[in-house]
Amino acid sequence: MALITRAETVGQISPNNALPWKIRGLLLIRDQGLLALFIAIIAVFAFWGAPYFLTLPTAISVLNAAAIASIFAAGVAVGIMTGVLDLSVPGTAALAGVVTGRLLQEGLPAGLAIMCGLLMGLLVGVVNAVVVLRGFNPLIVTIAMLSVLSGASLLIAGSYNISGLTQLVFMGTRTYFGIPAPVYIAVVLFIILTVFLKFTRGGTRLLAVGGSAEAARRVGIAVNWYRILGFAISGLCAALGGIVTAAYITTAVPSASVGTVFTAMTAVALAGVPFVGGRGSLPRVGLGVIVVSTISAGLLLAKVPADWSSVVTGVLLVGGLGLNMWTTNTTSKLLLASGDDGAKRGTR
Amino acid sequence: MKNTRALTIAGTALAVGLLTLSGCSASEEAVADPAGSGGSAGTESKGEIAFFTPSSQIDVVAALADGVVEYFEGEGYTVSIQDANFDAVKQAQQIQQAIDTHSIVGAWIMPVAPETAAQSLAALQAAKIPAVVEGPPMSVNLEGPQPGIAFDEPDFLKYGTMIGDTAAKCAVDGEGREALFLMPPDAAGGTEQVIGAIEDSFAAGAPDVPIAATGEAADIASAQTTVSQLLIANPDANVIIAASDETALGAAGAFKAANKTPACIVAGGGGDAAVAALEAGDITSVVSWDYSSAVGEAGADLIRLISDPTSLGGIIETPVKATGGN
Repeated sequence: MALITRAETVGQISPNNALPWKIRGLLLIRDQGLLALFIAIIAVFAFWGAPYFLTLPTAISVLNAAAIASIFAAGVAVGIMTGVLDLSVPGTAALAGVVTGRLLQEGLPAGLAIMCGLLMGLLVGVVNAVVVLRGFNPLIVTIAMLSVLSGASLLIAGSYNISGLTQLVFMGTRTYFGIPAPVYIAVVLFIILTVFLKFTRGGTRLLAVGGSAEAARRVGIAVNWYRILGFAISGLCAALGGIVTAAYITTAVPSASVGTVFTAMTAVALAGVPFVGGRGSLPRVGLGVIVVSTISAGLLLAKVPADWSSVVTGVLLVGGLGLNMWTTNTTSKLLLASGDDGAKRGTR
Repeated sequence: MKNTRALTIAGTALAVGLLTLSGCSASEEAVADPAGSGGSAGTESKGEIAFFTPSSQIDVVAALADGVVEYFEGEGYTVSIQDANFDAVKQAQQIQQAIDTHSIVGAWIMPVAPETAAQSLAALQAAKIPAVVEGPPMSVNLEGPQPGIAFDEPDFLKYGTMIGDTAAKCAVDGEGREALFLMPPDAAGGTEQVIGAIEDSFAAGAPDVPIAATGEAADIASAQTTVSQLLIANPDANVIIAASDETALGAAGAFKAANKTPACIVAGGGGDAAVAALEAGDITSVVSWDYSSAVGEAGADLIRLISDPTSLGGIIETPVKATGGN
């Protein structure tokens, strides 16, 4: 993929043509609101969860928990940016973990078993895409695929957990320079995907297809190819998440954990990624996952019953979506009122 | 045209991959059980028994299902497993469908929501299809022995007390300092009773080892994360009382990841993974329902009821056993 440089917005080129302060404020809330929320949460739990919350071991533990969730979130986010919500992610993760586990049990080297697990994810993504391109509703297709994959995982595993996968410890519980392996995996994945989405022609076209497939088609972009690519990335991330989860607990669990999609969607919503696709920031998605994990750890250390963590996560999901909708609608109204063109300003 | 070809190729590749892997799994099962599902291969089946399970994804329940299959196939019946996937409505529909199609001669039911199962049981009684129900009569709003229904009655108080006693003994013998109490987030029948019994018996048996914190987790990965974080806040905790296999396995993983050695990890459950962890020394003790003992007694009662569906079924207590120790 060729690297590209991003064009400046009109506002950046001409200071005289800068956006009104109200709009800039709204965009700041949309873009940096999550960071402010994160800082506020840290401040609250620094007192509420004292003396254990504001410590290095807690920070590492939160990062470790966020790392696995963020791998799933990255896949879900790329899918959403491409314009589709891939609900087969938990099934793909279970299948990849189980396939990897079984192959390890059969004596295959860890590298090869992991590659096979990842290929499974890729294949699931491609099959999802090809079926959707036939005109089927993506939600229905991915729900159906979730069902197929859940059953397939249980069949392959014989309904039991595949335990004792110590060959995967190097990417599960092992730490390098004090940081757990899943954190490195998540960071590398996010860097690769962010560079791809922001600085390559392919990434820009992927977002363009997510924003408006028809407009992308009119300017000559091979829409179908980028749809397949979006699903493939989603499947690959789900498979990687499944394998890292199996490595973390040295056990491949064949049951699909639907909660992974919920956490991922919460992070995506918190990151301000619109569910209609077309734009979004992966680093913010990563921060969204960290926020969810921080709340969960903070409540635990503050000795708040675990059910509240679930309540707070749900509230955050709706709140994130609400904030995103409010900033987008209000910005559009203000731009229309001032006679400006949102697209020209580069605010989408 | 291109899309059709791509769809065919991708679908075929996925199907071949899955079939190869599931075939691999099936071939091993065939080696382990040369008779396959046909314990009665070559002979005519006496009829079908349906095992209605809340989920095949719970190790202990899967083990019970295996026990039921083994017992009835040995008696000349065929057994089908019907998974409700934690959906009480789906389970009721599965039972009704089995009644309507006259496809079964007997049922073994582990209700998803016992309080909603009374109607299904009445329908089975009306159709003269006998059943074994996992739970006491009271859990399904009935009292005492019922015609055509046998009850496999778990004593939750006894179960919780055995977990608490086992953990207390282990904590005292193993120089436990503080305990962490882990439980699954579900509200299955008897959970409250089990938790109360665990807390009471542990406090009585190990008064010098306080329960420093409690945690809740549904699966191994989240249990491992929860325990890792609880160990930061409670660095002296070295006793784990886990009310489920998943939380015990997660706790074992968390101690390993933290390079700490627990004084004891006591699991309430008894699925294959927990037993394997017990044998590997990762878990100290496992307290479980002894379904294998109960299956024989309840199974024999079900066969008796099949020949006389109007007679009263027995109420069989599910034994509890503790495996392992310091």
